Amino acid sequence: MNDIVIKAENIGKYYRLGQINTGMFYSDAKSWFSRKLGREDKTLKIGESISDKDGFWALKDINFEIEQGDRVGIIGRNGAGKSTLLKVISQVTVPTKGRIGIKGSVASLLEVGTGFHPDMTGRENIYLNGAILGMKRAEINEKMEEIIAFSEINEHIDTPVKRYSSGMYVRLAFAVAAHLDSDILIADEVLAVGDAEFQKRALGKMNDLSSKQGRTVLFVSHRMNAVKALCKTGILLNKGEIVLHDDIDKCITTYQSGLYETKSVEDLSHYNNEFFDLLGYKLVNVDGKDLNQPMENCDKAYVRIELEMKKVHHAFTIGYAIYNSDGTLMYWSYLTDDYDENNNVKSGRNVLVGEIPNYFLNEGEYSIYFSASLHYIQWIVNPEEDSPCLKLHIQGGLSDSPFWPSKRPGVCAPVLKWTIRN
Amino acid sequence: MNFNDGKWDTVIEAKQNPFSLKLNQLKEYKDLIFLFVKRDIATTYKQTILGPLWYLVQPIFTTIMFVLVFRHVASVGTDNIPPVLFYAAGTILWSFFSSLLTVQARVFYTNKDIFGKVYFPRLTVPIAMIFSELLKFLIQFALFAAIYVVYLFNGYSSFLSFRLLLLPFIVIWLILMATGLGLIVSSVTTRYRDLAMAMTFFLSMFMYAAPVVYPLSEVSGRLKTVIFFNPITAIIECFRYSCFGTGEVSLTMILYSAGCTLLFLLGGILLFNKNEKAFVDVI
Repeated sequence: MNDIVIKAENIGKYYRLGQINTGMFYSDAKSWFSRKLGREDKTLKIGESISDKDGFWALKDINFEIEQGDRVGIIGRNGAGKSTLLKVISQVTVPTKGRIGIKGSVASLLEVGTGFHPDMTGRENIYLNGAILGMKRAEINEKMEEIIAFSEINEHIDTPVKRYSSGMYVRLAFAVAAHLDSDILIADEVLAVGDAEFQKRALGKMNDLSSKQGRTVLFVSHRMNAVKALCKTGILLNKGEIVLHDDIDKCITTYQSGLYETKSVEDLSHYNNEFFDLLGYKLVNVDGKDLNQPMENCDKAYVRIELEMKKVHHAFTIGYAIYNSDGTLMYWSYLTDDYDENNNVKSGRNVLVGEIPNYFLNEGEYSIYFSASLHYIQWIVNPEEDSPCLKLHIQGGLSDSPFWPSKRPGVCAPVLKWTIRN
Repeated sequence: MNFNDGKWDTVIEAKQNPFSLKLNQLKEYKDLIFLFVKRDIATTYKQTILGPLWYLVQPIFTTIMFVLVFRHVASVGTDNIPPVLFYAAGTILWSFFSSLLTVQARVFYTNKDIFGKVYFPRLTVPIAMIFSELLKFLIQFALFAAIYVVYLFNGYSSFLSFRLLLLPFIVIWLILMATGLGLIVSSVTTRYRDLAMAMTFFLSMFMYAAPVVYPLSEVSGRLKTVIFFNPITAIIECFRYSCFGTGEVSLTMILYSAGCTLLFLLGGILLFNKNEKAFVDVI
């Protein structure tokens, strides 16, 4: 068995919500005095400790061990606690409770290029950024040529970085971070930037670091193919808790099948709010009957939403967000896209039917999240946070042509019109 | 599971020693401190024509203004010191104190992006600020020294004495006080920004309540008590004492100010340590 290099014990991270203002100063002062005087904190209700009063636990009771040379992909939906976990491990923020033991040095690539000064040249910024990430001057000198070569900045290295294109900026920043001599490398969505060619090279470099040099890598990304390519094991987080810590393929499968979802579509009353009660949310076919899955791409599907409107608002809109199995957002569709229909939402019972185009989505599994908001004012049900989800499975029917029997290359698979003139 | 068995290089816990300066970590990052200083110095006057000469423009003009306003308009006495020297001394010392305090007070705010992404000992930033402000001060001090030497050769040779050897200690004293206060302000402002708003106002109040534009000997009565209780008073009077041999310096004043310095420094470190862990979630 390999050496354990990171061990987390009962990690919890609590975030306080709400505005910081006079009110908070007053309650701060009150609870501070109460504590100092040895009395019970009166701002908390009886039987309440720091808990759900005015905040939430972004991480709850996290326990894990990571071995030397492991490549761990941390996956989960937005708000699952992935970034918070990385921030705690890289010491950017402290855990509210629990302990983490780390062997060796840690370097984090949380958003590359932080600490770059626009007025300084590329070379000066390599020194500064390297030092911020924990490198010594001598180490940077040693690796300078290598870093410049990897970044492909070459003759522009002595130009202030404010004159760089965003691509150059990112390449330089990644090059610095990738040449760190740390034992543990923490990377959060670093590959979400730069062009495809650079992303490929960056991924290759990360692979190199861990497989050839035995570094431990913790990697967060929403791109399942990148995670799959790089990582051996995975940690699946949901709402601040570890759902699964296992082989990466198992984690991704579990994540994509959505089995860890705690709320099923049956429990719709959870989403009732001051504007409406949600009575129904399902997929139907062209006849209004429940959809048979998997469906073929040549058929249209419809999202059927049934509401009891309690309060009508001029900016009110409703829709859905559809994600593919990589977690990529395909598109948002909203009732307000159709101006006439939007004005037809009346108080009382409404049935809204939104079309999902045929001959558009590729073969695969899709998650369709319900969404409701007041345009530019507030979310009522945010599809990226907590919202009911429908699954759509498309298989076959991709084209009238016999040449496309299975999944087509590309994110979507539209069948478009062609004309020929001779 | 025991985390203190020496097997772990780093143990991250909710609670840490509130007074620890993590000096061993700071030593590891001394290159970073150097680079921060270099960045601050190099980037301040990038794309300017006069460049670092700006460091001299400010004290020269302030001194001229003070001489005109306080000496010629308001006829404030200067303890028989040539007014130019008197105001130059006050100006460079005060601007060192106020700019050091101002930059320190903004440590968290100006660095929130980088602090929120990468971990390195946070104290490197205020330490680097001390050095870059000190460098600026030394350049201005050289200007002051030049004027001083001119006067030495023109009938003020009595200024020269062993008292001048006190200068480095006075400068260190000032650095410690400004840093302590700066760290306190920076920590409080992450949560409540009110103090940042009040900062410029407080600083000018602070300045007029200190013997910057007048000598302590020109004040009497209740006002003198107020000025006496300004902790910066002792430093400015000591500075003038060591340069010119004038000024009212008493042991109580020095002890009071030194006590304040210690208090500010301990409070500053305590708050800074407490804050460096939590501020990311607050700012």
